[in-house]
Amino acid sequence: MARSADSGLLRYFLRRLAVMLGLLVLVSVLIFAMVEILPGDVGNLILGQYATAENVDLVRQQLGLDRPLAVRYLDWMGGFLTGDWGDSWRLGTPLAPLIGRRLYNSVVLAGVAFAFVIPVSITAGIVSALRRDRLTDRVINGISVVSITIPEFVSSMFLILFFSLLLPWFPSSAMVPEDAGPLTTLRYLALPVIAISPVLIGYIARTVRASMITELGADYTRTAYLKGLDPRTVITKHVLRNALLPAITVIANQIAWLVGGLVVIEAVFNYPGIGQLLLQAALVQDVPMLEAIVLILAAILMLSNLAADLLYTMLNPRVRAQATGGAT
Amino acid sequence: MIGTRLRTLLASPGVTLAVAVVLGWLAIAVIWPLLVPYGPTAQQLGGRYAPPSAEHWLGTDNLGRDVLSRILAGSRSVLIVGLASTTLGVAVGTTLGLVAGFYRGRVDELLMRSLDLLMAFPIIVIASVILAMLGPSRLNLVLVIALMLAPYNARVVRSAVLSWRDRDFVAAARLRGESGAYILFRELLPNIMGTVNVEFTMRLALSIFAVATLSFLGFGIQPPTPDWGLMVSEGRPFYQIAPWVVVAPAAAIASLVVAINVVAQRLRAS
Repeated sequence: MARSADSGLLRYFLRRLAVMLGLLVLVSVLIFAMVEILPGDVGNLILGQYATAENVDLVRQQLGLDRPLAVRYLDWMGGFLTGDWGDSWRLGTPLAPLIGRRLYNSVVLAGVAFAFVIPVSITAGIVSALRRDRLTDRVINGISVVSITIPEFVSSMFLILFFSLLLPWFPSSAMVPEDAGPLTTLRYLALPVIAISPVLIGYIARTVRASMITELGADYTRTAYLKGLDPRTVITKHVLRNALLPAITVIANQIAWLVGGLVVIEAVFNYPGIGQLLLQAALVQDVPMLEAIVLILAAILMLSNLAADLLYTMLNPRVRAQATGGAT
Repeated sequence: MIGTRLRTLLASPGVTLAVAVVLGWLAIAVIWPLLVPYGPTAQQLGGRYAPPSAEHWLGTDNLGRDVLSRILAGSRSVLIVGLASTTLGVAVGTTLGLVAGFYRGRVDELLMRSLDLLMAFPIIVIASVILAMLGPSRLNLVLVIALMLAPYNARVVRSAVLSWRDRDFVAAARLRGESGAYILFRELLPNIMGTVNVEFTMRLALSIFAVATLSFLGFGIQPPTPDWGLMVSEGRPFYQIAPWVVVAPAAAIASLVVAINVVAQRLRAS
């Protein structure tokens, strides 16, 4: 029986993966079409407004822009899949290594952020559920409502003013020196991480709080209490297990927010991540770089959502039975 | 109904304050030319980086412009773009939500899946790509933000429609031979107006968040127009010698978005 459930889960996963790949192809067409169709002539973009018509044509030929749209798309996609992502128009250098390096930096920043956000937000959610409607709950709720709404660049500026200018505890730029050890790196990343966290903490904490409250009122919780179990055991062994499940989905959904936040945070703190690269590419209209970054981000977002769904399905017997067509 | 709404809004001092802040900024956006002590773009190169004083309550910036005047004048662009994009986004989103929720079936499936796809992307990422290609202008900013808000709105409206579409009065309208548009906008829409109003307030906060952020990043309002997001990014290089140039617009943005959100939360809870 266990085996058939496993194969059902595998089939479910493969089906989802296939759908995701299909969507990704669709997204790649959309990205390509969006960037190529929107106005702005490439020759003029590169050579400037006063370039002669012949020179503009020459540049278009060199870039292969005189070919039909479909051919260019297939060429782009083919290159993408084989690791040749083309060259930046502005820098003239290959994109793949540059984007890879920047992506790595962003993953480091995001990793540190999540390592900070997840324990803090889950604890906040649990505490406010247990102290429901009391002062602690209200304060936590108030902080999360307020912090969700303030744009990241605003809170970043306040952080820089307080903890870098007024109290010189942290550097105002997150340009980590080459030879920095882990502790120095953390010091450089502290302000960006604190700036990006509130929104994530707010959402996750509120979800955990809501599902904790539901589970605390459930019949099995009452039974456990009436059996005479220690309240601590009831919470940790029974309630938490169920209450934390929805948090997985929310955390995965927050990855999209995190990426959006990273774009802003990296700009404010001069952090050499993929968000900053995206902004630079957008401001100078470096089309190949824009296309590559957006496609990479789309793939990462879709993969993380898929991973979260899969984790959720594996951990939740009820959903597992549904997803695998009742194979259990 | 407006009366009871107002009373629930004014029930707690925090919410009353939030309403006052929102109305205050709205009033300033309309009458700022009467209030400003100096022209918001008037430069006084002799008086650059002046700290807050009796003449310049919030100091001056790198070009000697009066920060208070720029803050008051800047409320207009953020509120115009915010209100316009929210109105457009909620109008489009509500229509899509009504159509999807009422017709169900394949239309619903197709609409919702495409919106899911749009929502899978961070707003700021799509907005910067589109604005980079279209070029920054107030109209483009409104269109892009409306496009980003509509899916979220459509989803909420759709689920509100689902609980009304099977009522007798809808069936009756169908039997009378009313058109689809009539049922959507004259029968269903009035019943979900409460939801739409709450949605509008919540989306307005998000929209102002986006306007400020995009202007800060350089894709929104362009200099020398006084704008809060832009003022923060213009003041950033010299925040160490003139922090007031950054603090004032940052505080203005925070006060407006927090106040709108407090009102929205309250409306949703009631």
